[in-house]
Amino acid sequence: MAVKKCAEQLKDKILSYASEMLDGKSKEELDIENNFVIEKDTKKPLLDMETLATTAFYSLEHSKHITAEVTNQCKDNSFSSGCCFVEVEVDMPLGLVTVKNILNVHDSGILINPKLATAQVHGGMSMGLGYGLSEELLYSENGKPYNGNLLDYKIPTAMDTPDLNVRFIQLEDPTGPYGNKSLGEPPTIPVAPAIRNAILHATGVAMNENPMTAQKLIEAFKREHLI
Amino acid sequence: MLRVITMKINGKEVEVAIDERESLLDTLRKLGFTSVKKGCEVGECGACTVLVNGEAIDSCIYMTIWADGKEVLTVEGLKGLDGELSPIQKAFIEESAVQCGFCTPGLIMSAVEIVGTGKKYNREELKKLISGHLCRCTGYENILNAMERIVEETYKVVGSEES
Amino acid sequence: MFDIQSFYEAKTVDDAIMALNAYPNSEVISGGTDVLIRVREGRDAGKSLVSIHNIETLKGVEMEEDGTIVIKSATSFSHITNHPMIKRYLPMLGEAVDQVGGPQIRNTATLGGNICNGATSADSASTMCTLNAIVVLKGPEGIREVPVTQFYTGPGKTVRKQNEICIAFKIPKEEYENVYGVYLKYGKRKSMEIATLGCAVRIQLEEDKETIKKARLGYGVAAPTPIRCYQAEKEIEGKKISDPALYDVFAKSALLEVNPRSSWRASKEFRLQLIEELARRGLKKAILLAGGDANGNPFAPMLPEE
Repeated sequence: MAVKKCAEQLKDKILSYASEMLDGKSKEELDIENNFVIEKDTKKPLLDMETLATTAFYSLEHSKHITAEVTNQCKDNSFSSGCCFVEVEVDMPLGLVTVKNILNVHDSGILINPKLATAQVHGGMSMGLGYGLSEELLYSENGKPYNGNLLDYKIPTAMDTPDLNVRFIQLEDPTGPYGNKSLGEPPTIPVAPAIRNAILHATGVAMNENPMTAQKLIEAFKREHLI
Repeated sequence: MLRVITMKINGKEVEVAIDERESLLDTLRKLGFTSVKKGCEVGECGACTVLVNGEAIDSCIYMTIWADGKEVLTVEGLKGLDGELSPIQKAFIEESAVQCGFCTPGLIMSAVEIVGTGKKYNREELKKLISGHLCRCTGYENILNAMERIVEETYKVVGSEES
Repeated sequence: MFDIQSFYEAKTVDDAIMALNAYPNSEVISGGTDVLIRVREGRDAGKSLVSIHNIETLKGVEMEEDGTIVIKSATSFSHITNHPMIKRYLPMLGEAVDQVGGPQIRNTATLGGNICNGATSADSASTMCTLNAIVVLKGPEGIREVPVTQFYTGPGKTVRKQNEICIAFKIPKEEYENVYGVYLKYGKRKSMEIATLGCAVRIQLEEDKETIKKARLGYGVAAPTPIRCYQAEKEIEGKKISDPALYDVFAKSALLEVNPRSSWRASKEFRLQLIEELARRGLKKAILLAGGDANGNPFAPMLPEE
């Protein structure tokens, strides 16, 4: 929202300066399109932005830094919500969990860039899969990390990652600048809990620790006399 | 000790003075081929992947001296005559397969090796073929979409079922 | 720049042996995917390296007149997997080395390096043990042959002397003809992984396809070195594949022969569980590959693909 307000303020200042340069045109008659100040009604380009910027900076009559700064105090933004569905196969004697199917559904309001939004969800799902199944930093008693490298810290590889399915529910959000809501962290959040609940559903064993590694699963299955 | 070796980098013969202890990664970056990324430096992440005589290798654990007399290909060598992107790079863009971009050049080079076989691969096979690259941003989904697209397109042109 | 004292690119095997002999602080480097990482981590820093990377006579797969398959030591894993002779006679080895690291590693890493590192986790080692492969070493005194099952002396240690080079591996015909097997790699992820446990099983059935003629069981990471479980093998040779006790006998006797340890990577108990389960699954898979009706035995384990 701050970005939007700031951009609006900046645009207003640019058009004010443009109206000074274009004698007789009020800023209400002007707009900006493709780096040109244009006449709103006819779409006729009147002045390119580079000339405007150079003039504003170096003008001997009226030099001016065109800047804008806005602080937006946000008190009423809505939560963006999402969820994850997974289907797992548990190979109990080997403690292996295979995610057969996974789907994240998010309401992040109206999407500004749907392709990038989908890609953002893929990344979050991948991190969630690692968080739930394989990624952990292990320390010695003295606090020295055992696995501070990419071999022993287990980020999922392409072979560990199932096909990632993403759906959106686009509900217009009045508190967002363009009806949108956040989508940075939400995709990561529901994945590990969904895997945990799917393992519980499949085996009856409730895991309460991440990541749910094979060794921990085998210990739990043995404790429950399942293997 | 300094040594002078000859390599064909991206089709161009170059004579270069190197230290015997240098990795191919260091040499290539020094020569300005900065598409070759320095990631883990222990052959885990795949960001430094280049092709040597057509085979994808991790250049961080490959001695430069081993490339003496060989052909090396990096992303810079994929550029067309007018500077246009290769079909593989275009597929990556069209499928939004790039986010932070650090793993991308390495994956593009593996893609060149894979596509170069002219064979058709299913998604599971492609997963295995790119499993020497770590990507934190994409979950590999769009990368695989791009690979599927380009493998399919190439197969239509030069397809062979031979193995 | 790698922190090494010097680097020598040998032109021939004899050239390499001479260089190793001249510098007692030197080490052989072939594919480099292990040595250079040890240098980078500081464990092998300051060493002199003698490279056999580009010696063409150390690459390739051949067959001798008596059917012995010879794999040259500096043959890379991807070249082994894709070699027509390996595909035809030793698919198990081709598949085992196709699970090392990732594709780029497999284009460079070599069988000789994998075995000579002395790592118990080497993906080729347990398979090579079940094949009774012979390691061919060449040093200043000439050539000697050591069975791979007697090659390892401890973690990271082998009988190879500092000035010797492994030039090839020999696999006798009776070990691959009509013998079928599988290598099961167990790791925390499906690629770019050091085995938590590796299990190799090879089976030859009598012509009736019901009786086990020959059994081979090898493990990686089940002991400080790759091992064979001779007792477990003996227990099931001559047994019917329909024998209700077959799988229990095989897996339980294997447990008596292994000696895994606890580390931050995996606990001993966890590894023992894997050793037992993988023996059962490997046995079933090998029997199926050998043409036996493994599913006719109700005590056979279920395989993930079933």
